[in-house]
Amino acid sequence: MRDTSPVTISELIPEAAADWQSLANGHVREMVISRTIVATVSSAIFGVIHYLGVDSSLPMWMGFAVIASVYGLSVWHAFKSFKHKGYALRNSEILYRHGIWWRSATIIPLSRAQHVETERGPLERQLGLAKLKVFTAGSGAGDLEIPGLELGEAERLRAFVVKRIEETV
Amino acid sequence: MSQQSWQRVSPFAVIFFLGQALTMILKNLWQAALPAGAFLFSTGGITTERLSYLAAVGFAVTVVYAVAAWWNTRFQLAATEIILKSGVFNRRQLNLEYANVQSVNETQNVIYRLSNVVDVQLDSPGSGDREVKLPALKPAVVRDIRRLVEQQKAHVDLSESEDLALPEDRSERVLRLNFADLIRIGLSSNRAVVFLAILGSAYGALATQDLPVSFSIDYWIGRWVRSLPEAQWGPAIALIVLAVIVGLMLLSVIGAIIRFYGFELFRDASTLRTRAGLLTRYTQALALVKIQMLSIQRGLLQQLFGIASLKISQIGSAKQASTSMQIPAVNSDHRGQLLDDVGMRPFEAALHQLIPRVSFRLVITRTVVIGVLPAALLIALAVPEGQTWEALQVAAVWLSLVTVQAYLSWRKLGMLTTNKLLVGRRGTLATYWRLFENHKTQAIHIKQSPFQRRRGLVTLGVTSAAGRIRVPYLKRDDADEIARDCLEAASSATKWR
Repeated sequence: MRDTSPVTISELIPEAAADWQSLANGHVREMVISRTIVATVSSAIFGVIHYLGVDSSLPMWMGFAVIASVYGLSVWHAFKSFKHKGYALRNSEILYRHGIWWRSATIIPLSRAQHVETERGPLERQLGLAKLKVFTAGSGAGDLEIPGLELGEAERLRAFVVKRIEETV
Repeated sequence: MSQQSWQRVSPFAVIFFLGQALTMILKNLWQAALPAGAFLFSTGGITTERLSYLAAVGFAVTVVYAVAAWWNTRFQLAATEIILKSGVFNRRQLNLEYANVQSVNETQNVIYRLSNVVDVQLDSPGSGDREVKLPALKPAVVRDIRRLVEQQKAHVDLSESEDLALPEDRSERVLRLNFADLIRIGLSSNRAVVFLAILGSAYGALATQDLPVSFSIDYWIGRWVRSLPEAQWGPAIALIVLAVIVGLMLLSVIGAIIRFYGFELFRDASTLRTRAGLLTRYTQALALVKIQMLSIQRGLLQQLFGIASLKISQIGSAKQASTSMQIPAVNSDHRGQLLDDVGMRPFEAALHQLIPRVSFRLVITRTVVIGVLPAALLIALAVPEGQTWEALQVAAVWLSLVTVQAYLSWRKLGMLTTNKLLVGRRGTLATYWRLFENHKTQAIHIKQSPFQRRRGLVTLGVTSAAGRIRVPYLKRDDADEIARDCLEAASSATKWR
């Protein structure tokens, strides 16, 4: 039988649901650093284009202002979205939620998981983070990806899901 | 039986590999064009002679590639698996266990029919590139493959099963479409309209070129109409419109005959099998236990003819979200029998319980977002131009259409769970149902916009391995109940069942 403790389905949507776990704080740093890299590279490209004298209808200060505004917004988005991301684990399901305005929750019955893997990019390795990916059969519409987990927590989750997969085969 | 030895496919497979190579070139056209461009520019520019030379060399290389691909393609029918070696530059070996084969599908084009060879595709589930395509096989080899797949699935000892009957020998014909059915399918299909839309766009693009006036259809129609007395212009235009409609219907019927001529559906203890096609013959099989989802479509004309079309889907691979068997026309008796066959009979009862549990706010939201806002924008843009009256007329028509569409689609939207099935319904004029067994739920997706959060509504999506049933603006309690039912069922099921 499905073990529904400790969260019931009707508690999925409210933000204050009892057993939602937050992602690691390093995930905010990861998002801010990656956005900073993108903004720096964009500024550099824009600066080089102006330095080379390529004709542009956009004044230099306006270009940098646009980049700075977008960067500011994306950093705000990183902090705000972090608050709404979370995961929960039950004996029978794994759950992940995200979204600031449009809030989404995805629930995967562990009996349906095909395989699970952890993934670490260069930035994640530096920050001691990992992504957990749970794959189901078929088109990929039923797959789940939880970013920004502490490495140890990701490994623990992976081991748990693998154990459940083995039990249900 | 030719086991344990490497075999080559028939030399007719060169046609298949030639087609494959040309498709590959078209898909990577810019990469293929690069060396061609380099050759043309290095030899002094584009001339007809150089282009012809290049085309000849390109074709010769493609033919050599196709012959090499045929030569390098070898397969072995081992006791428990098929082993395929292929590739010209990158050599590939694929081992596929018969037990993992979902279906054995055959295609036979006109040349292959004359040469008595068949293309075979073995589908297997999973996320990797796991399909085996064997072109131009002799029917005897195909029979061997199907026998081995059947034996493995039935866990029959190979040494004792040489005389095991092939599936078609013990199958029962469930459905056969006659010529009248094909006409009904053609008339109720919208493929011809899609064809006309593509043709119209192509003609529109051509018309912008500086072509001689005699190339213009408008010119010839205009010339014919003007040659008539003025009183007959109206009937003449009506006649042209009628001719276009009749032409489209005729095209549609011809399309249906080419694709579904001789359509037959067979069933045995474990498999559904179809056979159809006037020029190219398609044979498709689906294992009953691998069926993931059933889609039913009933358009207005289909309703008038008392038919519906069915699509039975099984799990797909990385290349295809799902592989499916299409049954283009079934009446209510056949539908009932098919639902029995695929274990989805409760759908008939569910049909009468499906009520629109979707909130009416969906109609209001769609009308405002798709209707009112664009209409207001149009009027705001038209006022400074002095075209307010025209804009008001367009806005009124647009708003009416959007409102009617939103209302009709709201009436059709619905989702429910029985003790066995999850059923979703949608549509505006036509009605579409999707259903799968609750325990085949792969994932639940719950989404809420800020507006939905305030009103206690959610968009619920339930995913199976072959597709998703998604319904917006469900009441939270209803969505929770459906999600609970599906998760309960999924948790108590084993994989693949």
